[in-house]
Amino acid sequence: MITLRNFTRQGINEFSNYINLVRLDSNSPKPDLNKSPYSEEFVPQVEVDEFPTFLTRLEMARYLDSRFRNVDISSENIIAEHGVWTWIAYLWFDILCPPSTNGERIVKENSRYICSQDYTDYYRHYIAAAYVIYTIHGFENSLLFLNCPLNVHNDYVEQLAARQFIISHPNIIKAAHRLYWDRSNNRPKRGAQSRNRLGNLRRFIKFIQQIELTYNVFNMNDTEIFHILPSEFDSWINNETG
Amino acid sequence: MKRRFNYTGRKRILRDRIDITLNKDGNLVRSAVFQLNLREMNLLQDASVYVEAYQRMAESRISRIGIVNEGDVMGTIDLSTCGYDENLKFRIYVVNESGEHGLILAHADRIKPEQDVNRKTILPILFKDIGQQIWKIVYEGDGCEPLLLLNRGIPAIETIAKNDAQFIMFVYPAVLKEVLKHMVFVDGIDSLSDPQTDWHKDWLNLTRYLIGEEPPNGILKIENEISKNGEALKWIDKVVEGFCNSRSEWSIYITQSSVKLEE
Repeated sequence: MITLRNFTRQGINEFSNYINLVRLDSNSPKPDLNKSPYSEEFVPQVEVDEFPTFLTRLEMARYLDSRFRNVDISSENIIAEHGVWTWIAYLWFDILCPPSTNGERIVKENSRYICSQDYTDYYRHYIAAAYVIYTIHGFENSLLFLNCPLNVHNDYVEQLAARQFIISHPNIIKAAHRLYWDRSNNRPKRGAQSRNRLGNLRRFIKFIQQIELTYNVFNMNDTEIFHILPSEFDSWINNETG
Repeated sequence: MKRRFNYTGRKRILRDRIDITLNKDGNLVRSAVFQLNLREMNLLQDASVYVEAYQRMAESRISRIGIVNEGDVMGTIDLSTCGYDENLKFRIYVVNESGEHGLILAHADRIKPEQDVNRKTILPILFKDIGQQIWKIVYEGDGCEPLLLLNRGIPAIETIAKNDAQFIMFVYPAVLKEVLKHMVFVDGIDSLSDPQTDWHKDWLNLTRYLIGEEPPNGILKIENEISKNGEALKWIDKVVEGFCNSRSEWSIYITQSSVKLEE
């Protein structure tokens, strides 16, 4: 276990430099940024696993939530701590950007590891976004987004979490979960992301964007949202249990 | 000019009909009090009025604050789970709930609290323990805006920062210079008239106000290369000089210094 730390601006810059070096050489040595002036201990003290073995982002989010809850940190107190999220990505960099069998690493865009202060990029961060989605929507309704490996930013995150007015409304996310999550196979339903299939995920987003101009959709529960969905969604609703 | 078609039939609630007061506890926001003037909008009298607070990816907080009735609606929304008011915005909607689904009759979105609208602070100040430094600039928020940290360990720093002529003539020109250098040499300015970074626009406007002339093209980044020419440095010096010349504290500082010498 290691004590949670908060990156300073200098720490974030050094981590960013390291990420750039790994792009050039996968074996670049990881700098020790667990000291001043790169980072400072987070208060209150939180212990986190240095070498966790999470299989999914959901497991990771649940783990962090429990660590924070143990010391009475609620999501509103930690959500804007960009230095903390970036430090966790630094700590777990080897599982967020693992070397393949030949030792090469595929480094994604920086916003996956460095938590952006800009909320339009915040949802791209592997750790912060998973934690926020989990704490708003709970285990069941986060499955579409987070039941995937730690270094996967899937289309549900990209399409739904990128839209503030959708991701911040649990009723809409619950409706999406009921439409597109295959409970019997514990995976998203086949074809949900297909642009050609009627009632696909993108059509759902389009419909919500259109209907929220006229109807008080945010006060409807998921079943009421189902009632106003056009017939193209019928096959998804009828196949609700997967 | 952009033209928009509105086939929804919903009415727009103009900003001057909305009054918001944030209740804060230090930096933390606790609640917001709304006073809405919906008179003469021809809205259904028993339509419900909802306020929604939203922020980043956080869960929206929606509260029904009353009905239209005679048009004056007042209510409070609890924001204790919000934390900071950074990037906090509001939606307001008036809903006819007599049918099966609530129909939106009137609406306002992306509403910020009063202080953000009427008095825009381009350099917010935070009093914080920063060791033995008197001041420090950090860049944070959505667009990495500058934030001036003043050392709260200095007795009466709030008063000094506002009224002390020596402090004002020593510290603020240096702060101004640092922010301008950051804008030009670290961030890079992409346009003088419509920069992509919001705070650059505000600070460029400040320089226009201080020296009464357009910033030179030489401060622009060219093909993503940060300006390296001397013109930018000269311009920054000129702006700082303009700032100093505009301050009435100069004569107070001179008087105070003379008195000290005589003592």
